[in-house]
Amino acid sequence: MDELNDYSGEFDPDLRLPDFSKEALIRLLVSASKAYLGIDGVWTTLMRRKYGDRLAFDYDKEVWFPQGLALDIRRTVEPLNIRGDDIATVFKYLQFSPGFSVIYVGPPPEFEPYVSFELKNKNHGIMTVTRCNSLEYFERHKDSPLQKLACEEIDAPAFQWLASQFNSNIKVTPLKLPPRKSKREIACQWQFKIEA
Amino acid sequence: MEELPDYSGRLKSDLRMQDFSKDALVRLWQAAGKLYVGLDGLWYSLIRERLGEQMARELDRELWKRAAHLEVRRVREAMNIWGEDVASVLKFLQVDLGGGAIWPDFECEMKDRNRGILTIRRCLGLEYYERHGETTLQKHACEVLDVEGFEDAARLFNPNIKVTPLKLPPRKSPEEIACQWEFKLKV
Repeated sequence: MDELNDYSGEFDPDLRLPDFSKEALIRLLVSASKAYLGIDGVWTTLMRRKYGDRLAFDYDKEVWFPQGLALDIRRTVEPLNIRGDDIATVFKYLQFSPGFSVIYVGPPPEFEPYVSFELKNKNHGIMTVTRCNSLEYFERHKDSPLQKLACEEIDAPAFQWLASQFNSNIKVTPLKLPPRKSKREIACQWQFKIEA
Repeated sequence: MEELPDYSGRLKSDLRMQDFSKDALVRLWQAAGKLYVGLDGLWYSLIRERLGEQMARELDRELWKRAAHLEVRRVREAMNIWGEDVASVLKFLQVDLGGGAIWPDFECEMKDRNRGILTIRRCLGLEYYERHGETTLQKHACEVLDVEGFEDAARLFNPNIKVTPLKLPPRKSPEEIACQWEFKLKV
């Protein structure tokens, strides 16, 4: 059977996912990853309306720390067989985490990555988010409280927590965080360093 | 470059999703589905612990009323599924992340052009509830969330599609199917 580039054709009761082209599978993966991060957003929005920002944000942090983050690591490294305790390993995980880099890509068929990873040396790496859909949402809706929650109260400690699960000597430092003055600026940048 | 079956090799800064094999992409898609369902479970558990079972159920129900259309829209857009017949609903179910995450064994069958059957032979959600004796949570998931969720999803394709559960848990043995659903277009 020829590869299917979408499912606009007839229903096939025997269809299997590998019957689709890679581009279709990546579209499906990106869409699933957006749903994953999105369900947290729907919960947070619902709780903000019912109970106010503080309780909603506190609950959101409790959901991620540590169980949500631990699940994210396990569900990413297992299917991709990512093992190790150096910065390169942390970057491999972050490169394909459904809750992170998989979402921050351009349109098909290129799916240009909006997160880049550079190893300066084996103990020092820089991660740069050039475009962030979440930040653009916060900016569009002028939702500074949610932006601060996501970037400062969740992401900053989350990257540190995630990295320390691979190696407790990795220190993560934000080099640049939102807010930004113009859309031409990068969204954020992070340094990962193993302290000898 | 050869397709990568996984990412056990060295870091490649310029690696893209296209560089992985289809199997690796499917595994990552299943992982995203499990994370989707799992994160909702973490929210539910936290609210149950802090605000009680009843409030957790009410909020979770409201959550899925808001989230269902997002899930359906994302999958339809990604896979270009735009019909309004029963076959289109079954096509959606075949590639939906919720099902992909927790149904390791299921089938969709068209009985005629206006009537289709979804049979879920294995459901990881049900197996979790059975393993942990979570009867209340199982009833909430299967009899409230799933009944409403399938109805809401089908309605987004065509408001005249009626969804009827033909078999629901609990079951007497793990050899029984988990559940079975009929999707029927009222003509």
